[in-house]
Amino acid sequence: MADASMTTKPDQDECIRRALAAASVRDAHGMLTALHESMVLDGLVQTFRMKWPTLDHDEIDFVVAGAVDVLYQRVADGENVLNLIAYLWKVSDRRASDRHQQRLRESNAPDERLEASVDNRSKQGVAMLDPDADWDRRRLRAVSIARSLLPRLGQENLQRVMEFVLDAVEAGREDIHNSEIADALGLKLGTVRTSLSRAFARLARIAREENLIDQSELSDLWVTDPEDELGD
Amino acid sequence: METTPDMRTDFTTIIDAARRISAPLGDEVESVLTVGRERPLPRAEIARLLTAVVEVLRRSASRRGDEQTGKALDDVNCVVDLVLGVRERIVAVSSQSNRIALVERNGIPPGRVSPRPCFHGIEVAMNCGFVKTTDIQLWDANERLEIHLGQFQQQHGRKPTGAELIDIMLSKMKLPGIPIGESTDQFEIVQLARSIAVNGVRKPPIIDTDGTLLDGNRRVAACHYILNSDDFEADDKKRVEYIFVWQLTEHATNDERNAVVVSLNFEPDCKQDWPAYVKARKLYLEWQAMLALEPRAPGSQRQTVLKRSLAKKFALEMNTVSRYLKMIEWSNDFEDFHLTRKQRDNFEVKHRANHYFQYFDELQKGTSRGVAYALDQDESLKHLVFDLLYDGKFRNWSQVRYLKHIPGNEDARAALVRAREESDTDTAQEFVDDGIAIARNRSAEERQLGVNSRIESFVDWLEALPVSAFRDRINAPNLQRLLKALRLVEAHVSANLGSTGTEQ
Repeated sequence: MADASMTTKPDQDECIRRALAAASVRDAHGMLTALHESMVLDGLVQTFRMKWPTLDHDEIDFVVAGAVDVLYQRVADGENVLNLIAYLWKVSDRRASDRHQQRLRESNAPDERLEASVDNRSKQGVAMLDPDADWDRRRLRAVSIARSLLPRLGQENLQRVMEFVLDAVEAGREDIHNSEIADALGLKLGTVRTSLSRAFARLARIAREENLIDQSELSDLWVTDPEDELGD
Repeated sequence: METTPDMRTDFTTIIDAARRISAPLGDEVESVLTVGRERPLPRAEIARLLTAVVEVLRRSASRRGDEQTGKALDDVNCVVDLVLGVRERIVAVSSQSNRIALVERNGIPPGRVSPRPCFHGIEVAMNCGFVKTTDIQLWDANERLEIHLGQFQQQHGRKPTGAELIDIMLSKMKLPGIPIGESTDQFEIVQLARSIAVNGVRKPPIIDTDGTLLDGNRRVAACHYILNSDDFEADDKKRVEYIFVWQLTEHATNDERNAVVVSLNFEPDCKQDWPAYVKARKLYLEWQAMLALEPRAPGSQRQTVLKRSLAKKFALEMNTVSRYLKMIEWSNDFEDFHLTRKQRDNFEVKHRANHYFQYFDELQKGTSRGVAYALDQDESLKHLVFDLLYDGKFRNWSQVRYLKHIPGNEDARAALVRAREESDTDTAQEFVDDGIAIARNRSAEERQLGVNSRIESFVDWLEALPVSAFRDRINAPNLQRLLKALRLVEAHVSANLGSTGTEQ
């Protein structure tokens, strides 16, 4: 009848610190033990079950497991992860979103049509590109386009913070913190927050002018009214 | 810039990624920690998750040629068992350390409950002693809260915390669907708190070894209410800071826990409340004793002070005290009349007064122009009503409300007199029905008298009113009443004179 969990938040913070320390020396067992003790995995799984009801429990487990793997590799390779939970959240959420989108595409495209499309490409002798290599090329092109728009953001701070974020995207980072940007660029936290918000809003406007985004496909993530952020 | 659909898709993906990796997640991070603490996965589910994590890590390490990691995770089942074991050991240790210890208080040391209490046919060993009220956790599996807890879970995707449970029990947390009449204090915690503030917790709540309540959710919620409410004095708060409880021993089995829950929450305790008449009489006697100690007849402010003290002493609300006192005065009148005028037996009269006590609540209402006023102005009508009441000739107490229309209505009064003289109760009740109906109809007719002249004078007055009065003089509730009335008029005008408002 009593709650089995007697863990407190300070206990959890300590476990998270231990998990990162273990990962940094490639101690997978130590990282897993500390993560399990922190109950962060329990919280993530429970949260994502609610957030992504279209995915079954095994898929959520797999998504979180993948995020732990990414975290482990990056920390072991020396990446400075400032917030383990935010990191796991963002990687898990991206992967869950990808799975959800994939499911939607599958449900919208009947098997026969997919097969026919593949058959056609084979018959026409279209070389099947390595999907990873193809995406790397396209990603570099998209980042390059985004960089070319930075001068049009106007204020220097807006350009600098957006450039920093694009660098992080290019480097394959999964999570960056405002504090990290603030430290790197010598800006105040509040300045980083408002600059980011305005930069994304202006970038969206410029991209629309340049026909680089389709309004209907614009993600909710980067539709931000800069006026909302002015009060921060 | 020349763009293609692919370029647009890629650009959107990149900016989405930029936005996502730089998004602050403060709330989400806190939520993950809280959910993890409060809703840990069951063992089987966490074992499956850990197995997935270890397998993914192992495969990934193998692809990268990371031998150190691969070797450490080689035996998946063994790794998972080891990891699982760590938390289980911590939980076992902490559940020992989280045992709530009973303490001595007011010279009463903790001890065994003797003889062993029996719950649902099972003798259960118990210890007794004091615990700090705030250390007790409300029981979140209480059937009484089943709907509320289900609703909370649906809204928030988790169980409520201890503090939220208390808010639910105190009706501080608004949950849709709770009837309006029950939305302020659905579990009647406030009334219980008043009783506890005066008497302390008389029946010990029963707690598990870790402080989880098995019986006494309302009592403990009431103690929390006292501790956090400004309505209670420091002494009241001190009285409930620690509560005397019974606690299961560490050897208690789940069968014993269930027996406690079933016995105390499902089996009736066969307790019957005192009748309101008896409680009101005791209150009245105390009131008289208080008045006797006053050097002079107390004014209204002093009376309020005295009544407040009476309310506290009897754990009643102030308006209940005032109501009971007035009801007893009417009951005294009723009893005097039947004892002295009718020469009836004292106890027989008291039985009737007890039986019809709630009727006195209706009789005491309206001292300026209601029932009380009408009967006070007309002694013979009052005696007539007392006779009818004594013989059970009113069908229900709502009929009493219309007695205010009887004075000046001879037909109605005649019907009531016939009812008094009628020996057959059913027939007499029909006469009372007639009398009340006549009085009500006459009242409605009277309201229609002079309707045109009344409206004319009101409209003249309204039209002559300076516009500034609407802004400066008429208060908001009255303005709203006026608007409501005018809308009602508009509806009648449309129905009777057509949409133009002119006679057809």
